[in-house]
Amino acid sequence: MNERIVRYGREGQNLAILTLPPEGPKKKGVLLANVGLTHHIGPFRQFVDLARALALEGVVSVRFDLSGFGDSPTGTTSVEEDFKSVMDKVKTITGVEEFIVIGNCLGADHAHLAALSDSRITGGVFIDGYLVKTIVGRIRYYQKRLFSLEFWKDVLGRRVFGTRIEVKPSGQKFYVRDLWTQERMQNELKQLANRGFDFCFVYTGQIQKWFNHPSDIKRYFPNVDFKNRLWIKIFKNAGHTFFGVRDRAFFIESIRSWVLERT
Amino acid sequence: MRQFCFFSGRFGAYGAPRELNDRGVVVVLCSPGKQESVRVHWCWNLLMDQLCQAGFHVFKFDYWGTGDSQGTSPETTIGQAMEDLELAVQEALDMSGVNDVILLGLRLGANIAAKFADLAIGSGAGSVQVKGLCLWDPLETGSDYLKDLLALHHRMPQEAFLSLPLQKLRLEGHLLGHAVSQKELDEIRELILTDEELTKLKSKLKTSILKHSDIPSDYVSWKENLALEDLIRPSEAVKRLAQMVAAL
Repeated sequence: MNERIVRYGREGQNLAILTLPPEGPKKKGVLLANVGLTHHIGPFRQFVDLARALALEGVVSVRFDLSGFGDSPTGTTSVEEDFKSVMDKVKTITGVEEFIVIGNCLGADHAHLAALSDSRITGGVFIDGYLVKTIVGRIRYYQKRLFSLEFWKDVLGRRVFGTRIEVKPSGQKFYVRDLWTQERMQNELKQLANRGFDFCFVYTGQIQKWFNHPSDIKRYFPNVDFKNRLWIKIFKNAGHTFFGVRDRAFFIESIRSWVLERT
Repeated sequence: MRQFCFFSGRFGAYGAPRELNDRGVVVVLCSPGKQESVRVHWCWNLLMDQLCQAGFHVFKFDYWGTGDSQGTSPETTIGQAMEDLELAVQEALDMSGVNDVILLGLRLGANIAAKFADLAIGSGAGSVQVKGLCLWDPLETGSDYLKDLLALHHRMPQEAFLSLPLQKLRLEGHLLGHAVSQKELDEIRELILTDEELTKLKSKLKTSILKHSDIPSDYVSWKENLALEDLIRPSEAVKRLAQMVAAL
């Protein structure tokens, strides 16, 4: 696989890895930034696998650490500036001028901010990104729990028989994801939709309290016309970071297909 | 500024010493096992900074099939990691322009470093001059280490995926989220580093050992699922390791 180290940002201090296809490249490239504190390889190395799968199909991708994360030193540049700088570098090296951004959790928030600030980003995959709080969604969630054998086994094991381990937090949490308001998300999604943006919302089973049915998107964002450019995929058996190898392979294949249809 | 490179398909990062205090030694950092190596990424950067400030050249790298290196997860084995380390040491010497190496390894990486140093001494040092060894939480036996990992793996659905009551997390085909081969498991199972062997190693080579349990103020858990995706940031351990390396 043809991969190159690229330095970007002020004074070229930040690190990016460019994955180049054997032939091509296709019109649009893919941007993969670090996921919170996990560096640019992504949780369980999923961004490396995804970048290499895309390269085999002719798609250029770049995985990178934003300033202050992973192998990029703390700087004074913003998320938006870092994305712009990376895109400039990729354009210089490969000639690619349009991009699809992929982000998970806090990385999805970063992807959203980058997309809003730069029209070169024409599509995005937001993994556990836009969290929605609807009454119907909550009822659906608690209803499922109420009729779940696993839930009652857990409650009985933990509270009554003491056969299950009480889980204590590790005390190592040191970053918090700010949840955006419904109004803000709606306004900003509207701006992107009006640009003809391609949306891919991916949700995992682990955050089913926040999202458990595609209909909740329309319910929570009634004023956004996605113009048939929204694709929603729920991986109900997967953890937030796609811990299982089979779940992860299925996820990578789904995203690869979605990206290929839009490049 | 840190320099990054690809060498024989592996990814590496090199840090130069601060001006005027070059000790003429390069420290090669040997990462622990797969998921643990992600957790240690930030800590390695902190340690690189400390060691560079203390006048050392420092080199860290990703084993084949991990991080940004080529290859896939099932291709990683202990034998492969030994080859990776040999290539990394050579690259570190080339980039730094010095002749002496200190190996610093954590957990499984400590055992790989010890095995590599032992072989390098046994073969009459060969082309590599290993000046010292710094072992951070080395594994006494590979079989106990695997038992701990498997226990964590099987407790995973209950401990870390509590919000998935309706589903069963798929546990087959991987160990803590990374595909592993039978060969890798067998090789890990054979690893042994008893006190007796450490004493032998110390008689041949300057060796320091840091047991993390000796620093209660600097809590790092390798046996909790909730910590599996947390990065470690043991500031006291980083300080002590830098002091230990300087004393070698």
